[in-house]
Amino acid sequence: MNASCHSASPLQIEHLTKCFRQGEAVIEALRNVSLTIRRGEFVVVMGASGSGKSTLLHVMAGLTRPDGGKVAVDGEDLAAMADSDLTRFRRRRIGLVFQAFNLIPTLTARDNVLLPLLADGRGDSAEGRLNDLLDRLDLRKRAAHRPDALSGGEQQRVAIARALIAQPSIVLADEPTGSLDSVTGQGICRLLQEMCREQQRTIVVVTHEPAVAVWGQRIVVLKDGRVLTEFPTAQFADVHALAAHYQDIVSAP
Amino acid sequence: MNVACKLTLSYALRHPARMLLTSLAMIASACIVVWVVSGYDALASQFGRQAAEYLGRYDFFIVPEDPKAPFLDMDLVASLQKDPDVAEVTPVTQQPTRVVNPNTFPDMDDGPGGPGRRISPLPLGEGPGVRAGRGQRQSGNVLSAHRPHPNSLPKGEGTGPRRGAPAGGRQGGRPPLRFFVPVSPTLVGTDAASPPYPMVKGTWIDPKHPERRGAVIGKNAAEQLDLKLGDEALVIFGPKEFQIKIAGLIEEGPSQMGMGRRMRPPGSDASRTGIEAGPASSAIYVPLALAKHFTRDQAKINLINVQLKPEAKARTAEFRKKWEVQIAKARPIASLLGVEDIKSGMEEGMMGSRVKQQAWAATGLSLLAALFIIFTTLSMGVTERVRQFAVMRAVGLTRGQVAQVIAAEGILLALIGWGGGLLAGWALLAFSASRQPGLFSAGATVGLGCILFTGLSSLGGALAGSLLPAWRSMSVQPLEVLSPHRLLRPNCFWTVFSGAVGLALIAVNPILVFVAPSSFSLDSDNIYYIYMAVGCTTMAVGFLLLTPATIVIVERLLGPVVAWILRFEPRLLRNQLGSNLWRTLGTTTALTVGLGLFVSMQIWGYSMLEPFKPGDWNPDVLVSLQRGGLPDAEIRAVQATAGIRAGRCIPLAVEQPKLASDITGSEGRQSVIQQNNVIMIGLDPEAALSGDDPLLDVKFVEGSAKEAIAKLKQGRYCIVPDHFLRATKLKLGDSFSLIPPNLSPLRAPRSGRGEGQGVRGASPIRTVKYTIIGAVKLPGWHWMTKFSGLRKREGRSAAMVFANYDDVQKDFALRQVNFFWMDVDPGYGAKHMDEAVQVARRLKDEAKAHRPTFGPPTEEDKPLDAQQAAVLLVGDALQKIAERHPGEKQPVNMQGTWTGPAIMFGESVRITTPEIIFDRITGRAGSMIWASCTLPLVTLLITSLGVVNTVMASVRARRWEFGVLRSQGVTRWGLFRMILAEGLLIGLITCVLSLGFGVFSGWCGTGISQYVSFFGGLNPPLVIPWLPLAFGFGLTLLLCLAAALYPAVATGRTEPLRLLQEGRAAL
Repeated sequence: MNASCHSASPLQIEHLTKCFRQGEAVIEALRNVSLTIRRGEFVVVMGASGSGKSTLLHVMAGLTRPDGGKVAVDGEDLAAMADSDLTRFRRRRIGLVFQAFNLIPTLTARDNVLLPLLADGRGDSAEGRLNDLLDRLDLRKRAAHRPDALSGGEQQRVAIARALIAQPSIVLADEPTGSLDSVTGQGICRLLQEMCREQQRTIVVVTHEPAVAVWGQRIVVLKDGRVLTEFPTAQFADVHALAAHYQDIVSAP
Repeated sequence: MNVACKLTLSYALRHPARMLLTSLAMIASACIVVWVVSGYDALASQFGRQAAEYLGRYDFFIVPEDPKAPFLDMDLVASLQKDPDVAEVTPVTQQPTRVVNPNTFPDMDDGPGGPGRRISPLPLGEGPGVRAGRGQRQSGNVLSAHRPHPNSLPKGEGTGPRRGAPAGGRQGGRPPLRFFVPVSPTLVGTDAASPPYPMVKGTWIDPKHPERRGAVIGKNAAEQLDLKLGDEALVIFGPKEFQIKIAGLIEEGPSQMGMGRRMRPPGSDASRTGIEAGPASSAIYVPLALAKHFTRDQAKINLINVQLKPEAKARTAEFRKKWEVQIAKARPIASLLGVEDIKSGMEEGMMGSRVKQQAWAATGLSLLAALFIIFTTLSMGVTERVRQFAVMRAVGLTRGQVAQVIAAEGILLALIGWGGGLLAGWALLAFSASRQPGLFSAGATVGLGCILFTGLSSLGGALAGSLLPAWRSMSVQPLEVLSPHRLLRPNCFWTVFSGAVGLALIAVNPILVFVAPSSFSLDSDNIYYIYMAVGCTTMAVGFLLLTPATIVIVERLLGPVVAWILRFEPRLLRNQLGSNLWRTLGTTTALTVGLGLFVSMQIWGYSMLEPFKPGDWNPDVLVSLQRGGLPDAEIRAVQATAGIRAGRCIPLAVEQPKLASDITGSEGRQSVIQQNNVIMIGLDPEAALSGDDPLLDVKFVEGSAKEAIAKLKQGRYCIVPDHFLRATKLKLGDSFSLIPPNLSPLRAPRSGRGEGQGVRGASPIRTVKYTIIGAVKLPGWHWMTKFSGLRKREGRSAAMVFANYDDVQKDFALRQVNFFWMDVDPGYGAKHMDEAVQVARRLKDEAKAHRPTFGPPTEEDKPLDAQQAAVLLVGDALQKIAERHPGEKQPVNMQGTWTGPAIMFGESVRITTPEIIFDRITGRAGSMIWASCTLPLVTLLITSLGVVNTVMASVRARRWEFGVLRSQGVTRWGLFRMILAEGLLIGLITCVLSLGFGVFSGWCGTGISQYVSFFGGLNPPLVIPWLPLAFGFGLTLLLCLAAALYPAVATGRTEPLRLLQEGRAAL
């Protein structure tokens, strides 16, 4: 299903809570988080380590279920779905990009990209789209290689292509540049931004690096499992200004 | 392409070594099945041809189905003859009989009328009479040409020339017919105009002239009896003998033995029914009238042969349909059987079922091997790919799709194993057959059986082996994509819990086998089914559940020891196996299938053997005089022989009478303790049992030696083995009756013994009664009696029973002494060693001249010890005494004539010692036990390929760790030893598990054998044969070390940097 079919906000989060147990202790990773992301928006979730930003992304992706509140993607509540429905929904509507790439080492780059469609039984139906993506991400020449023959940047581009191949409503990226050098990382950020602008993709990136955050349109800051604030990036002249502002927010008592 | 197939293929291509090893193991496993099942296929392919051969020229036969009415309605014959499709209907009577060749024995030459004598054909209807004895003209009707057995006919019935036989002498020159158990072809009375099978020589019987006594005999039976065309033979039916003349030799049909649905006890008098009652293969054909006469008209029609007209042969199905119902309605109940029935009978029969059992056993083992090989491989795959599966789940693969990936891998391996196994098996059979043409007696075919059984083992194993890994892969959560590599550390609670449940389950089988039967009075069939269905299952599952705990315990206890032996830091070995529990469990269980069965077979085999080993109760030497015998006057001469310890030589009076009633239950089931006869040993109780060091040093389990001696002296008391009481449910003070053998050539009363008429002329049902006064342990009595000549009448016996010498001599009319028990003086042997060596050489030369083998003490390359020297010298001296009293061959079982397990001095003196028997039984049983261990050992070899996989996977998973160790200063050699240690630990865990499994299953196996095995009932102790087990354990450890060798070398040779890089690249 194409994202353009949905007029509602691609992602709507209301009063979200999520707890973890560590022995006797209960840790509230997310506390009453509410967030709305518009179509074609590039949102960056920032926060210190342990602020709950990765947990928020996992809940948004349907990788784990919230303890309270609602997460709606394209108007559909993920928490209400059965596991098999959620899996199919994730396959078609959500693209995921991980910090550690997480490619299947036995498959070629081409097959890794096609994996969501293969799972859907549509592996042969997207040849044109696949070639477009490979060209767009400059992977055409590397399509037949396995992950261990690719550089980190190439692996992450394969992972992004995999996230986009099913034309999802929303792409969620967890520290997508965390395993990359700064130059390659900037390239990946540029790529995500272009996807957002040119294809009206909704992109949510979790990071703690201002250099990545500056590529987004809006920044949501989490602290201790709550949304501390959110602000547009356009108001900052450069990454240093953004970094200073973020530091001020996070350091505030 | 389906996502599961794509992922499976990509994984297989990515790990070619693992796939290759697993495929090889699967192929080898299927190859075992092909090897074993090809025999079944070959046999099954012969069944069709053999079924047709069995029917001979007939198309159908009709047989009785009711054991209580084992004959047929003659109206059937008339009805069938009216059928226009029928060419011939032949009513037949088949009766068990015994046939002997009188010309075989040299004694026959004594007196006139010896071999070559011919009896004139006489017309039917002439007056009654008996066959002429030697020197007498035969007179009377040939159909009356029977001679009653001495001592067995009622008074008044003619005994012919026997009457005048001098007491104690040759019996009128009559041939000593009963030296050996006679060959027993079936007596077939038929009036068929032509033979059922092709004639080999001579002519078919003439039904119109029964008075000519012409008979046709199967060619194999004729060969066994050394009968040729024109020879005379004696047919023994009941107490009478009848002369016949061999008019022709005929081909024999396939043996009936393989066709019965169950094995009938040999010699069983129960009527044969159904397919068992079909045409006899080993037969002697006579006209119907002659057969009826031989049997005094007892021979009723119990077989009808039906031949269809040539034009009706194509309509056999219609004929069958038409007559099947009609024949089933006949009274007595009968059934119509044709080619297809015989074929299925053969398949269900002994031979077919035995080979089928072997096929199932091989398939079962192969299935288990395949199961654990695939389980190990897939488990490794799941553990290594947790993050991959998490990624798959995260990008949208359902649980089912992830499980499909695992299932597809299992099926791929199964298909490779199936196809490859069939090809490899076919190549192996072809190669073996070309190298050793005689290897496959029934041929070797890769037929439908091979295809089905290999498919079952491969796909069944794959399916079962995939279940748990598939379930584990399905349980992987998408979030695990972000987790570090998950180590499956053993969960303490579950390990303990699983171990406790395992122990509880293991305890079920011994309770079922050793406690339940007596507590709940279960019959042997039920005990066996419960043992198989519940006991074996719970034991197998119990050991499986105990495996995780065993892995953890052995790793913790023996890991440091192994590390110390290989000289590296023990902490580096800690938890390596326990942390990868699934693959370690799979590998050790796979190896335990082979090694555990090996241990189990060894323990079961040696435990079962223990009661058959000659015990210390035996005197040094048992002497049997197989020709003639000694008069009482010579007893002192024997006792005074140099080399025999003074006062330690006693004569024995020996007979093997039948039990008057079936107190052992041998009619229901035969076993080593359930037979219809006993071996009576008459001895001087005082000389045998008294004193601190009695000659017969038996251990009383009930009663006492003192009391037994006193009672035995009183007469008609006896001492029995303890198992005899268990088998018969008799107690001390109970009595049992015996029937003195009515076929003994020693029937005539002993002169000078004052026994009057002896048993001649006595009723054949005369019995003698003995009361039990003691029960003793007699380990090894079976084999001591088997080869020594103590079994005079039957091949097997229920017990060795001790009674007073005079009682046995009198009750069984024994005229002479043929057996002695004695102890020899080793000092005498040492002193006369040179003479003993001379005797040994002489015996050796005689053995070369007459026999292919000889007893162990005379082997030149084995120096004689003092005891053996004394035995030889005593034997030599006894030979001289025996030769003073030549006489007839004494009756003896076949094994009692074999040269290997005894030492023969001349034609008469046969010496058996416990040592010779011990060597014989341990050698033979040992080779049988090892032969039965072949399959488990091959399984062990195959499953050891799984160890290579496991160690390789373990090494691959830890390459980064090894890189770190190398970078921190661990040498290549150190790394090499660490990896070897891991292989060694897998081997040690397998040994511990296998020992436990083997001890319990072997012990329970001996327990259940007491109820169902032919060799059961002797309550054997648990014997753990450490030497053979050490071989199995050593082999396992070597295999595990060898399996770890390549990964160890490869890792040791890899540069540290590469290890680090490859380790990081791994998901």
